[in-house]
Amino acid sequence: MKTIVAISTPIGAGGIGIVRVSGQDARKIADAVFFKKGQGVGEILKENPLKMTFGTFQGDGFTDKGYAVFFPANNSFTGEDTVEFYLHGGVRIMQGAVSTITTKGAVPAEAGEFTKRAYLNGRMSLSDAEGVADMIHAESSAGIRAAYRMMQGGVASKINEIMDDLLTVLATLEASLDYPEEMEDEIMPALDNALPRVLARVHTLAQSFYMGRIAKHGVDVVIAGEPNVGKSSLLNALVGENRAIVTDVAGTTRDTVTARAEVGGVMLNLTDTAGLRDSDDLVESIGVERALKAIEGADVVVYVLDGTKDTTPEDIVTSGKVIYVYNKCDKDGFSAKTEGDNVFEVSAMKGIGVDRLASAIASVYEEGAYDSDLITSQRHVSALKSAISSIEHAILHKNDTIDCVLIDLREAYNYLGEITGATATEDIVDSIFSKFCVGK
Amino acid sequence: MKNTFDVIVIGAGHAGVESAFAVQRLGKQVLLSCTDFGTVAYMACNPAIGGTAKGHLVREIDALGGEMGLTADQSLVQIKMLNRAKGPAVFSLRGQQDKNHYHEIMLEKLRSKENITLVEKEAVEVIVEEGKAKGVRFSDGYVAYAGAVVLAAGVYLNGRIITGDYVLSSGPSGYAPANGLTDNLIALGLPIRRFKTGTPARIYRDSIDFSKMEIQLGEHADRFSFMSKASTFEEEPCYLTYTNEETHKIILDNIHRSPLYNGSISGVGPRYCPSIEDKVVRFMDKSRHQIFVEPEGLHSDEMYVQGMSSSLPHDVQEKMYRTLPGLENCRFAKYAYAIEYDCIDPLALKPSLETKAVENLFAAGQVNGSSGYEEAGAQGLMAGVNAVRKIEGKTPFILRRDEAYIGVLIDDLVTKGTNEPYRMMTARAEHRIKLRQDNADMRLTEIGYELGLVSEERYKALLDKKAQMAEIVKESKKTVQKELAEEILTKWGEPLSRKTPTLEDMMKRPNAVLEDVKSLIPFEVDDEALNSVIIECRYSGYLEKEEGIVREQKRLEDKLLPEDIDYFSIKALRIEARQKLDKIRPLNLGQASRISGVSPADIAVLIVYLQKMNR
Repeated sequence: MKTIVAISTPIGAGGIGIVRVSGQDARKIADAVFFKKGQGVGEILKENPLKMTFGTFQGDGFTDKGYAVFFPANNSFTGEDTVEFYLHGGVRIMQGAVSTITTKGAVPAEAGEFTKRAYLNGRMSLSDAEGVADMIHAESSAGIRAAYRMMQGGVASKINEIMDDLLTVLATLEASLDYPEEMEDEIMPALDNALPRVLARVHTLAQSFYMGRIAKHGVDVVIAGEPNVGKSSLLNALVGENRAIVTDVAGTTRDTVTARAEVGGVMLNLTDTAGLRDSDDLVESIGVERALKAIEGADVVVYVLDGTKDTTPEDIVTSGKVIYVYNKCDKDGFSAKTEGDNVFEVSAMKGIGVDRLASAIASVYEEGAYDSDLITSQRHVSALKSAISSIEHAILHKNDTIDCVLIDLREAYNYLGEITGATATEDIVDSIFSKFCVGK
Repeated sequence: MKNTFDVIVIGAGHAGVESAFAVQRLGKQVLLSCTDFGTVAYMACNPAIGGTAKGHLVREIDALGGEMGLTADQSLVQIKMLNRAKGPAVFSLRGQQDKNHYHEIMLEKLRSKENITLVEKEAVEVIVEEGKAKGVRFSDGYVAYAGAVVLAAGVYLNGRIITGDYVLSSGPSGYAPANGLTDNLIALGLPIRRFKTGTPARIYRDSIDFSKMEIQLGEHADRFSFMSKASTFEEEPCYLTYTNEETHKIILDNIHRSPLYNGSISGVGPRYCPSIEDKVVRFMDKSRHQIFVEPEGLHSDEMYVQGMSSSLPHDVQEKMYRTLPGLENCRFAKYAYAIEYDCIDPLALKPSLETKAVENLFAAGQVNGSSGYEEAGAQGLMAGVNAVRKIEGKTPFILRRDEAYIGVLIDDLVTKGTNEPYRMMTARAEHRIKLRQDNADMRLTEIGYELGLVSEERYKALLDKKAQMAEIVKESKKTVQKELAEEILTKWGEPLSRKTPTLEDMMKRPNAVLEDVKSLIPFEVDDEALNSVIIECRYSGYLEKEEGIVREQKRLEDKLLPEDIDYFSIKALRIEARQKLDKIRPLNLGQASRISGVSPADIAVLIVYLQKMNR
């Protein structure tokens, strides 16, 4: 069975979150994503089962310090080798960890799948099984509603278009296998053209996941800058102006402050960071290090400068968009030292220019959202990626006999069907009879 | 006349015959009834056995000790391996048969078996006591008793033959229908439906001008049965001709006279067996349709016109057939007709083919909503085996989808049901790379031997083949002589390799030819064994992947669902899932997961429920 991964704690509010990986590759995956002193922790976990190992989670585009624990098959909930990661519980880190782990060979778990495996392996020990069943049911109906809402948009039609395209290829080839004589007059699809075309379309859809994630979880905004330039005031101003605080959690283990604000229907996940400066103070330097990491993985970095002083921005490393804010525009001696579309002048204390800034931050979402076809679920991305790999295999082996090429193509169709609920066999049989005049 | 048997089989078509042979092989006494001896193993439609997916079924029936393959080999007129260029998973044998000879051989075999009592009687009632089938009452008053009954009534239940507005109460080819049994089945609680199928006209051979058609010859191919030796037989050609615009015009001008279009047929017809009027109406853009003209038998006076099935009135049939090149002056021996019949909704059956409503009553073949001789034969064999196992108190014999096409066929019928006569297709077998016709014996003969279906002789043949394959596999790791390898690779048009290739490397080449591979092996090898090794070797990557998928699925198949489970009490299941599960009553979680309307979340709920029950 494939190794599965899921976030096991509620997303968002908690300071600490748990990501659980179950399956035969669990430890191998841990070795590839979790490091102690620069070394993968595979061996350490093996020798220290059921013990917490402190180390660094190396995600795609972020790192986080935390703990990993290895539960060998005979000691785990699922009855399979399991590794749990205890990381900082923000949306970005939790999602990022799952996403990273899926690139190492795990697939996102279905609702209730950990329980299912526990049962299949004869390991389930539940005091109230009925309660768990109700929970699975509730989760799945919530999932169904969410999926249904998603399908209202362009995604459903995009996937259906791709599947139709693939189905035409499939049905024609399958019909030629089941009706070799009747199909002699029909033109067989040129795999050389058809498959790369399908592949490109699946790729495009998979890429929309990034924007889809923003639609679901909001824009991760990091406010950075030197100490005392007004970062905290700006955070308060952004939240206050919009009067839409959802949560306001002071990190107990961290020196960052997070808050959420809604601007024009887009959720901003705001993080205030420690001022960037060299420091001999241990606590402060850890804070700075954390700030740099937050900057690296942000969707938007709001770099705040004191407009009354003669300073220019430092170079920062980030994969997100950078917006420069010259604060204290209400004060004497204020002047912005740079200009451009991404430069704003505000007064955090007086609330001047904050609205305009908020809209600019939120527009990161809108810029990407010109196309409404958004893939929002990690599970769907995983299905698309699996389909991609099946199609790629088919292209690579297109000179094998048709019965083999069809194994990959049917598999690809079934992966896409995981999103829409369609299955290859029934669709193919229906399609053969609707498209071709076969049968005696 | 004796009136006590172990099993009674109603109907002696392709399902009933295999059923009776299976019961007999298991050492039990069987009463086999038919309305007319002429209907025994009668090929009521095309004079051919096998074809895509159906050829696989014949080989599987054969691997389990059944008669269809052997009898087909003995009555061949022509044989072909279809799909040779498309890969070993879809290689399929198709034989043209002498249909009368096929019938005669089967009849003789039945009569030669002491344990089989073949009678010409019409069954009118299945006798049921305390929910169990106990025997059968026949129209002449005769009553027979048995531990189990197999219903294999084909298309004879309330059969109606229709051409235009002419409707005749009849079975196929003028044989009498069986009108007495349906009411009894309904009373027993079996859901009855009305299906429809059809057959083309038979044309007198001497009225056809074959010079205007393309001749179609057979080839030197394998035989259906693993036990048949490739002996010679007298061959007969088939012919190919086409419909044309004039044919289509006649059909469209008279379409109002078709019972399918004027509403006098209510039965559901199969999409894969369309009448010519169906094809013309649905595919208006096609300017012609292929028509194969096949002999009904060696030197038979009648030719079967494949592709021209129709329910139009006789006068229209004559006009349209005569538009075909070669048939301008044709005379009709039999007109084409549509036939409507009663059948059981297969969702009312267990995977053992026992009915859910009546214990010890089994059903097989077209009466279960399937179509085709091969589909019928496969079900007949399984029903026969399971009838015997039931009276012996043994667990039913069920083949999984990854073990056999037979498994796919029965699982599809009893899990998904069907809204039209069900035809086997390779597209339905998701594990088809495993379910090849070349390895049917490797998959099933050992199982058949353990069940008691397979003779010592056949079992020994399997062991020999396995031993040979092991020898070849051992040899395949060795390198072959370099010069010889290069010579052969050049001949195949394959690039030379830097290292001296092993025999395995040679077998993996896409253009490898069996004869040349054979010349590289220093001992005598059987073609069949070598062929299987080459296929397994060349497709090892795909086969391993498939194995992984099968292993995963098997974990669900191994989790059994209790028969008496009350799905309506499991509130966490969605309502639709509760209803479907209650109706179909799957044997295990794997089968449950294939029911349409049962979601993965419902399966998770069932898993939890099972866990709770087990403690």
